[in-house]
Amino acid sequence: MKAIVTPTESQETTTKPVDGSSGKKLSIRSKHGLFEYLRVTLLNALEHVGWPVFWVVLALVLIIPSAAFLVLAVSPHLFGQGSAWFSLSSFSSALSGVTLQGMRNSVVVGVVAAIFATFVGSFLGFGLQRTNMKGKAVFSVAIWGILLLPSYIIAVGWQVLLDRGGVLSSINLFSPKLLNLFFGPVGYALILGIKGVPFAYFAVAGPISSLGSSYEEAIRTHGGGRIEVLRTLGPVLLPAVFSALVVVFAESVADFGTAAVIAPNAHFPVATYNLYVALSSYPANFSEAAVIGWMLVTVVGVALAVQHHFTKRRRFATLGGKATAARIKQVGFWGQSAILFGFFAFFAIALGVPTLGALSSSMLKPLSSMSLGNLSFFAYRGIFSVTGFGSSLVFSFKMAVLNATLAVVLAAIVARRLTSSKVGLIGKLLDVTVIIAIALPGLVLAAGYIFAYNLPILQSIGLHLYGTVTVLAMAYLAGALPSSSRVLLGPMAQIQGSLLEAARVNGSRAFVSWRKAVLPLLAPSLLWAWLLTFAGTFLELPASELLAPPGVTPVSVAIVQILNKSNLYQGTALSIVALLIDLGMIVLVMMVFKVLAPKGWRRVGGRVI
Amino acid sequence: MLSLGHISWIVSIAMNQNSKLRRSFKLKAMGLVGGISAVTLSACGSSASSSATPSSAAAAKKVPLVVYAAEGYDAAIVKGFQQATGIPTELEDHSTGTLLAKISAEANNPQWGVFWSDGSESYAALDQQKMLLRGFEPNTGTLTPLGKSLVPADKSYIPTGTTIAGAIVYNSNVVKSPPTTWNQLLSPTWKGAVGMNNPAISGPTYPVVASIMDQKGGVSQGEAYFKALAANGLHVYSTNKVTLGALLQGTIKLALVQNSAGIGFEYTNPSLKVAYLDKSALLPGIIGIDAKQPAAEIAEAKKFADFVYSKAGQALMLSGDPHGDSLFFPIIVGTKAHKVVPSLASIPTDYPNPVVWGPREASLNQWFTSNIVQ
Repeated sequence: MKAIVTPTESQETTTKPVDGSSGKKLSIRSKHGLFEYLRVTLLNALEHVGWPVFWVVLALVLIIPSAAFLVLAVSPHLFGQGSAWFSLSSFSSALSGVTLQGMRNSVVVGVVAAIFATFVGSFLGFGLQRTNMKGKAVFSVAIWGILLLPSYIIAVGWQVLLDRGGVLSSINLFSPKLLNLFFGPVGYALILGIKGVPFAYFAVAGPISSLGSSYEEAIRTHGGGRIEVLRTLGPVLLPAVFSALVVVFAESVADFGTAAVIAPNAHFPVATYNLYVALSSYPANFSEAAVIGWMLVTVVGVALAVQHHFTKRRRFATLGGKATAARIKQVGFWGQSAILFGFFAFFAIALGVPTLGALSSSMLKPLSSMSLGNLSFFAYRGIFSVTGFGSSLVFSFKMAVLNATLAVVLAAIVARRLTSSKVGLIGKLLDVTVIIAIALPGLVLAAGYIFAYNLPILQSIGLHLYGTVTVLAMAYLAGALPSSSRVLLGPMAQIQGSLLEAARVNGSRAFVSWRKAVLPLLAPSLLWAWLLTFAGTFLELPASELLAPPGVTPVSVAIVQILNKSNLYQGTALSIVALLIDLGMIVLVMMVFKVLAPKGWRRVGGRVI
Repeated sequence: MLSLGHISWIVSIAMNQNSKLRRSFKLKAMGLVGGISAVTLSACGSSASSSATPSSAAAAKKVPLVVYAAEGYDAAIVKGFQQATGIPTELEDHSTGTLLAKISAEANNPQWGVFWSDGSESYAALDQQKMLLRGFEPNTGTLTPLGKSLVPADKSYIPTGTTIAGAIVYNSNVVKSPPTTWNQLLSPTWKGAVGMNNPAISGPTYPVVASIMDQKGGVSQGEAYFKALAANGLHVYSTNKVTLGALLQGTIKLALVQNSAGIGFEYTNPSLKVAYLDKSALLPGIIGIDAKQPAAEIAEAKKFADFVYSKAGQALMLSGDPHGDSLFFPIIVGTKAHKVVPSLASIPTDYPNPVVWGPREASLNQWFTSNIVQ
């Protein structure tokens, strides 16, 4: 057991990227040529400015806008939202009645969704990573399908299935009880849980895949049975499991779409819906929204503290130089059948029902019942002639590529810092920043951007950031950074420090050793984080609506504009086309990775792709 | 640990400082992880706006006019206005709720020159905050008596046409005799059959709530009515889209939505019909001009309102969104409504005083969310 959980007490001395002394040694050693000297000096300088620049970026992108929004809870006058410079009245009014009840409901639903998603995500991870089951490629893409589905389509799907006159009632299985159960807290938690499964899967799949079979064999050699294997290796996966739980919990309590569609009819107040209402009324109640923001931050903060408590005491590094690819379990016919049954059952609920929703809302002739004969492509005719939609697609595509790339670089740095054993004040500050950002819904962050970057004082010093594509790009990055760094936390915690030590001892610089020793092991996880951000950014709505400059129309805004023009069917058809483009891109990138990535990058965690 | 991407990104932010024109940008991010070398991003503004600078002398006078609008025909009008005047105009086309949230958040440093959406209540509230230009009326068209009745005493906003906020849309194959009064909706016939939007989220729904409360004799009587409606199984959805979707799928039998949206649906689904209850709330389209902008932009905003009242502007309003907002009741003498739009004289209407009901919007929406939605 002790051999498995490798102690890496000297790890930190080698991973400190701004370690000037190590750079000096190197520069002395490599003074063979002027070119080499210059190269080393440049790298040295980069390493020295690296962290300050990183913090400036983080401050501009996350800290300042979040703070600008949250401060409104106590000082509405600061951004022209009331007369009081300091007031706690928003807290006292928000900590009662519907607002408090909404927060309570959000927490309960978030916990249920997180447990459900982590359980299902681990099952999918085990099946796809460690068995010889059939149809892995299809299921991998299906997981992305779940991630991309809009809440509206999911809700419509369930309605078509369960409602009076729906699919179930046509086979005499209509049940008002089932309908009420679904359009209530249970259904709400189920949808959030299903939407959380991809996050959970991304957090656990890499570690499950990279937990080389040598550990398992070691236990078996020492006479341990299956239970022993589970008992010993289960805890090694803890960081990933906690990552999954916390990411899904945070995504669930901060979820907007499902809350807007399901919560009002479930007569079930949740925090984000209350926040939505506070922001949508005129004049918008930013102070109350900010208080709800504080509550969300606190709740997610507590969840992360619990995660911290359980994962910080021990080390979980398993991805070292000797790690080998995990052995694929050869499952027999009955085992295959059982796993496939589980997979089909899950995907029928997670994807089949929304497909029903997509069919009925974009292909079913108006006012007709669900049957094959009533389906038609009428809404899809001519959607590509919609003025400007092509340029919207191109714009969102470019932004998604840019944002995914920036977010993965930053998220990797954040995750590395958060998993290092010597966290220190800076690390804690970073943790708090990411907690705040993960807990604040996109709309809140976008409003924070307006407060922070539309200040008259900025314009008076000639800084016209608000109303530019740059600010939109920053908001996209802010929205993506927290979840992508949380997804990378689990895999990052498993990297053995000895890998870096070995590289550094052999004369590599910090960055180079990281690139050569760690990057290959993390490549699959980084790719997922990239795709996750790409997919999210391509169809991002709240920041796009509030921050896109005049004349620039991201895809999601274009779709909403068409829906607002009373063209329900064409709008839904467009959103399905955009979804398919999004999914197509993901399939393409996965295939390119499979073909082009060096073999070593794929071998360790490669079966995930 | 630092990639060149960080640096070039910061540089791009710095380079974008001079972005008052807000039209073309280049973001460059180079040398990023994993072999992704460079992504160059050029996001161009609308072609019409970026090319409208005929000569440098004229361009010096013409600042960009920023129009926040939530009308289906706004893009057509903005295009026509630019062609007619040469004034570079930037359109932000979103839902009323989104635009109001933006306007609220920008209160410190307003970015809009013209705000055009349905419902006068929020304009009355904006006026109370001294955000609207007062005392201006376009002189390019003459208002009908109905139009005149929609103009506020301080002339702080400009009505451009009107629709009905809470019309009943129903499927005539299913519903043979639609209700004619608000009280009928409380009867067992319509139990669980009525759907409406949440006024806190859907901009044009608050006037329905205000009008019903006004007709019932006050806030407390109105609240009692909505509680009875909720007890009779009222469905509340977030926006028109979802409410009409529920009607099309048969979840509800009566959808309480804006009449122009309902008439628009008649085009594609002839069995859908629109009925009006006694009395139906008028929902005027309104233009407000930002009082805090520099004189040059205010002058352009006035020209914009003039253009809307002109014959060319009225024609564009009627053609810009033929199955939606273009189905309004005109209030300019000489403009004729679409044939499918009924005569307003046949519909009993109500227009609650926006100065009274506007400031109540936030608290009543909150009440509605707490007591009816949840």
